[in-house]
Amino acid sequence: MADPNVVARQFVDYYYQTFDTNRGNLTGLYRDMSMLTFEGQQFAGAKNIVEKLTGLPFQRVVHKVSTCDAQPGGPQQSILVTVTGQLLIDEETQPQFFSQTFHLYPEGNSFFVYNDVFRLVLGM
Amino acid sequence: MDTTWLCRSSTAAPSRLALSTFPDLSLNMADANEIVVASRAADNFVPTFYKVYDRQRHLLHQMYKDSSAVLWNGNPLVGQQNASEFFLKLPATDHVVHSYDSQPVMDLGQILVTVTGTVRYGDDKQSKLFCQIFVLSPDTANPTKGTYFVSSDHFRFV
Repeated sequence: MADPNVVARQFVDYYYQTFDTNRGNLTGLYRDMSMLTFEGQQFAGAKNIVEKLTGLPFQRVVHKVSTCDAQPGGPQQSILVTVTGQLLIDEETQPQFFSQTFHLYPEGNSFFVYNDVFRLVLGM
Repeated sequence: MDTTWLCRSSTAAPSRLALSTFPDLSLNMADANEIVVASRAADNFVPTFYKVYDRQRHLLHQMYKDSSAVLWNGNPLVGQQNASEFFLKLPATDHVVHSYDSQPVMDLGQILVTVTGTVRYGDDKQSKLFCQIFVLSPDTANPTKGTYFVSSDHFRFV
């Protein structure tokens, strides 16, 4: 079984690199059964999820990952990945904190995203 | 200790969540019922968890089991006893939850709960931002009670 920390790190690097360059290419990571909760809004299925992500009202975004925790999930060899970090949108100079959780399930030699929960962590 | 969150409503839990059914990967698309169950579980769990954490921390370990995987700012706390001793050493806390989300997980009726908020320790003037991610699992040792325990817990300052 693959080391969850290695898989998580590779996944997270790929995810945010793709998100920051061409978020339409994230479709391959989701399936029809996948779920996204984005700032409390719910989306189901790869098509709806990527539509939401590509429709976000900014041109440029840079994610900077601060922490990445991973643990093996249940009997299906899934991996729970939790990320915290900062993101910078368009011309803004003040980064925003975010928290994102992925639950990855194995499929062949790879993994897909079943659960995805995103939240900005706003100040006090 | 308020254990209402531990009680899974039998009317809300669809038969698909029965512990004997091992979900088939290709067919296990979350249905509306599972989402309702997940959201109701989170509604009960989140306020209770932080209330116990802040006011009755000596009871917090009851929400975990030896098999629980706990990461506190990246540090693994292995076993219920270790986690419990660690939690008891932390100063008094005051958690304020800003948001929480939940989703059903594919395995065995588990529920994913994610929380963001602030926490103040002891006499600190300044609160810290945190996020905490839980996986709640049905307690198979007591299938008739329909209760959950925290099987994964990732806590991070943001």
